Amino acid sequence: MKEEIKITTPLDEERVIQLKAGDFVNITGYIYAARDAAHKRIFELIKKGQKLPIELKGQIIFYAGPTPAKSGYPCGSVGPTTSYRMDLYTPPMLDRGLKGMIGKGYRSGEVIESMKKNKAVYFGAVGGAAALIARRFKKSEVIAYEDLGAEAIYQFYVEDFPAIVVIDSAGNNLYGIEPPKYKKQ
Amino acid sequence: MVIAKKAIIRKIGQFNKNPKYATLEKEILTKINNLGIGPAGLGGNITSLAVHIDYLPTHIAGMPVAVNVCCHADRHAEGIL
Repeated sequence: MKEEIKITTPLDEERVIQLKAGDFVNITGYIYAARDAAHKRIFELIKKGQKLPIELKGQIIFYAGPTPAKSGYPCGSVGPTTSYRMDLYTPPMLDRGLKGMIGKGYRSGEVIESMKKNKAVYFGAVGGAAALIARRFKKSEVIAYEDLGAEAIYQFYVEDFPAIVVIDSAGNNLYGIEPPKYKKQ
Repeated sequence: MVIAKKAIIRKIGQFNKNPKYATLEKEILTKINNLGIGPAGLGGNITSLAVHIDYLPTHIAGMPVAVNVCCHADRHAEGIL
């Protein structure tokens, strides 16, 4: 088992460029959750040059929408959704200083190019383990777009949220590197 | 679609009772695992734990096929049969 690297939010460029595709990380600190609907709104605001509901600089966005919390728990189940639906909206957010994204699945060439340009990192979280992941979530609060329900922007405080660096800031991409090693004719 | 959903809940390791479909299940499983995609697309020898096929008769002019596979990331593909 590889050693897990502890990282804390917000991320700065120096920390981001140390993270390499294949690293296991444990993330501690405040992160945000946003899905398609919230991304679309942020994208529109950026296009119009307006103020955003959250400061993106140095932040990590988790592509997820939590289920309602059981009483006594800070957060319901919360697992990664497929990232490519956010691809169209992502480069302008990286231009605004977004440093990390957590999701699952491939990203577009445009996103990867923008990650290289802006020095950002893409983490994969474990799909299908939402209830387990939620145990690392200590605080949860809707901070924007409450009308979107589970698709609102949430702010979470996480402790040791486990993730894998899938695409690093140099553009190394595990989805491209690893499967060919196991491919059989 | 209902048949495909029912096929998913068949116990892993059980093949279709019809040898023709059991052979097809084994063939598809081998081909999938030979792709090397692995868990979460990060590479590995196991991409799929099982392939379950079920079937019902249909009118000769209609050949509907339903496939249930994993999550959104894997649900978009086109192919010519």
